[in-house]
Amino acid sequence: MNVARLISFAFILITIGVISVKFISWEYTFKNILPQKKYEVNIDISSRGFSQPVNISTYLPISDNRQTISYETNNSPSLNFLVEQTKSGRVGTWNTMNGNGMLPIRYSFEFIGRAIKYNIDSTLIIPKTYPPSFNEYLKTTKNIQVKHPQINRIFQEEVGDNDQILEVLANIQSYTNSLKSRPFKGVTDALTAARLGEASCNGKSRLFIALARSANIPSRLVGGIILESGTKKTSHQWVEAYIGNEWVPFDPLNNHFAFLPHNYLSMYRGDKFLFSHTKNINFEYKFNVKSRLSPNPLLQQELKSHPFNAYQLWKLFESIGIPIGLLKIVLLLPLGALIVAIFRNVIGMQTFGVFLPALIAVASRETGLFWGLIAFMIVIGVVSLVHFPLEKWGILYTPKLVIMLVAVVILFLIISYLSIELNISSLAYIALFPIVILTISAERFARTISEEGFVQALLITLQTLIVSSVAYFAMNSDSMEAFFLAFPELFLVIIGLNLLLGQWIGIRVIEFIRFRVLLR
Amino acid sequence: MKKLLKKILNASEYLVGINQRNLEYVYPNNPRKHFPLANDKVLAKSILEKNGVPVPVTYAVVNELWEISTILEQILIQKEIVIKPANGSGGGGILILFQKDEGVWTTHSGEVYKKNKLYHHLASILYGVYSSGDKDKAIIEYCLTPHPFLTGIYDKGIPDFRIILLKGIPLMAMLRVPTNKSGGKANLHQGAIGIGVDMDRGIVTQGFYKNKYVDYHPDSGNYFAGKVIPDWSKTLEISIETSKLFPLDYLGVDIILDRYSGPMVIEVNARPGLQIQNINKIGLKESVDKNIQL
Repeated sequence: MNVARLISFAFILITIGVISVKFISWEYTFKNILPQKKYEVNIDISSRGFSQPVNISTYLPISDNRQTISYETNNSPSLNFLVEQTKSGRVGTWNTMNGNGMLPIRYSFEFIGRAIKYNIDSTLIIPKTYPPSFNEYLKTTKNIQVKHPQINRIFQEEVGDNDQILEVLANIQSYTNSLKSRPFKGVTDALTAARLGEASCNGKSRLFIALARSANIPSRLVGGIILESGTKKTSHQWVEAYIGNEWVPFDPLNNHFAFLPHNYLSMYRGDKFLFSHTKNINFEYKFNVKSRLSPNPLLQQELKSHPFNAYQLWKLFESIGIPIGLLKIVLLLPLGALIVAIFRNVIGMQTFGVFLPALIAVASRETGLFWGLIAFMIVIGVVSLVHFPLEKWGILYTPKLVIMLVAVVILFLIISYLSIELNISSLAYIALFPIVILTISAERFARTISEEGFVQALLITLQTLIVSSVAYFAMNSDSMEAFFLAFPELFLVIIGLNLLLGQWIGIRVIEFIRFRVLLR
Repeated sequence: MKKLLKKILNASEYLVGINQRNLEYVYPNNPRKHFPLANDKVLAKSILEKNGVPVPVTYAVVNELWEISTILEQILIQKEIVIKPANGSGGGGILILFQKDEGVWTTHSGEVYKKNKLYHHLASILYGVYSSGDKDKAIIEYCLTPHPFLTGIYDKGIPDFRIILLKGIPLMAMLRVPTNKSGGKANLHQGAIGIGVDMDRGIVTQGFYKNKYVDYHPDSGNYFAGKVIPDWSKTLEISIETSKLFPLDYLGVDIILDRYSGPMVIEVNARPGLQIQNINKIGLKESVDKNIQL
């Protein structure tokens, strides 16, 4: 075995060793290292005023032990906005005395939730009495008809004389869940749900509450949204019952028993409506949800307390004012380069420049992959046009490159300006593209056109874009970022893999196509 | 599917890919420090000339700007010349010129080069326009006339033979013939057609063009398959002689067959390409196994 191979195996083994120590002796956990799912929620409300007072209100979520709400922003150019705390939740109100024309509202926030599971002690007995403040969670209301004979009958059939909390609630859940599910619009009261034998989330929840209150268990409605990427109008309602000393969630529609999934956003408590608004204003709303992964706040805690990770560097960068994004780029660039190396040496793709794809991927972090690739193509295409007259006039190499570089800079400024004017703000970030490397790539692109033809140049561009995209997805993954922060020893693996790659004499994938007439 | 997989797994028995070419042929046989001998045409040519290997006669080498005017005077006695950058690649900067009237040179396509334009072209070469910005030299040399055997295939541009040798033993050879698409250049990348050579029998075999085998030139329509190559044994001998003069054991030698002077070496290459495998329908490894007893 040769030295390079020995070193590469040693590097890989050392890394596995260090990572094992971190997990076993220092109690690193995957749960804390891996990123969490984060949701960007936009509540879009539109209405139209005809010179009259307009008043719209909705519940706004608040952070609690299960959900974290951050980066709240309100954008309502033609309406006043105020927030007040009520018993059922935080209410946001938009109003104006004289609403005219379209009155758009966008309320945005970020949500991170965690799934929560409660264990109900099977020996717990339903208390006989509660403090007076619990009366409202036990009483009968217009839509939750606790005392109604029909509800009583169902209670006797489904629950009977039982005083064990766990069993009573299990019976109620299994009965309400067994009712047919139907996406009714509007309000279904408990009695109607029972009579029809079918209901949507709010009918089943009210019936659940009516039965729980019949058993003397305080319970209430919870309103919110089940978050999924996409646009929707459906909100959701579920139930909380007071057990021991806490409110425990139940969802009779989706059969979650003493459990709430991580993507349930709760917005208010009680039998309320999510929205209320002035009549005749063409009120419309929708929820626009995007999910993405984001670094786990627990990761920082984890890293802070242990040596041999990149957290200290992080602190150092922060203390001297270097943007943290730069550290992330530095940490992930080797990974991008490894991907380029694999594509070039194993698959056999041709790219402009060895590391250009990794750098395009880095630059696209800010613009997003789509605009990043578009910007790259525009720059390469336009700047290579400059090359042809320069070549025809026999301009020398270095001065030619300088002229092309100036063309890149001018183009960047124009694109940045236009993107802000046209409100495609992410495109303005193309100024972060590595200008010098782009210039050299544009020159090489133009030269490839002269020497090997336009088709060939285009093919290499296409391959560069493919490799860039793959590098982008690897380098912009929060999991990768978290992993390299927690385990910078992975660099050794990258060196090791390249030592192996550098000795690999296998035939590249593309060569099988190139030499296909010879295969036998 | 299974059959294809088997084919792919077997390929490394006879085919050589870029990775293997570099790791097992180029790196161990061609020390990096000797690359300039092959890359610099002035240097390569002087080694060949000194040892009596036939090369096109050098009329002048331009090293510095101030020499240009004098040299332009000196070459007025020639009817035809070739100007080349010493370190060019892909045929960039090469100019073939006839002297129409005194001091008035023109290309095949009729572009006129008077003193100023010629001066500028030579200066561009020296400044590195054709060698990625590095300072370069220009060679002005005898303009070869292709042998009738070659013009019988295609009569524009100058075809050349490429012979690949390992430790002085010829492994494979091909004939590269320009096409309309390649614009007179015998460069496969630019669309020249590659024609296989049966080295033992001294004949050309099939041509490989646009991933298909053909027996005739795609533009002239002239058949070539099976034609006997004139002076082949001398061509082969020259390639062997050449490879022994360079401390590069894996070498591509480019030879042009001149109508009047026979085979002449025009260039050597320290990392010859692999397309020759397709052109000859044979893997490089196979021909190593066939030609070299290890």
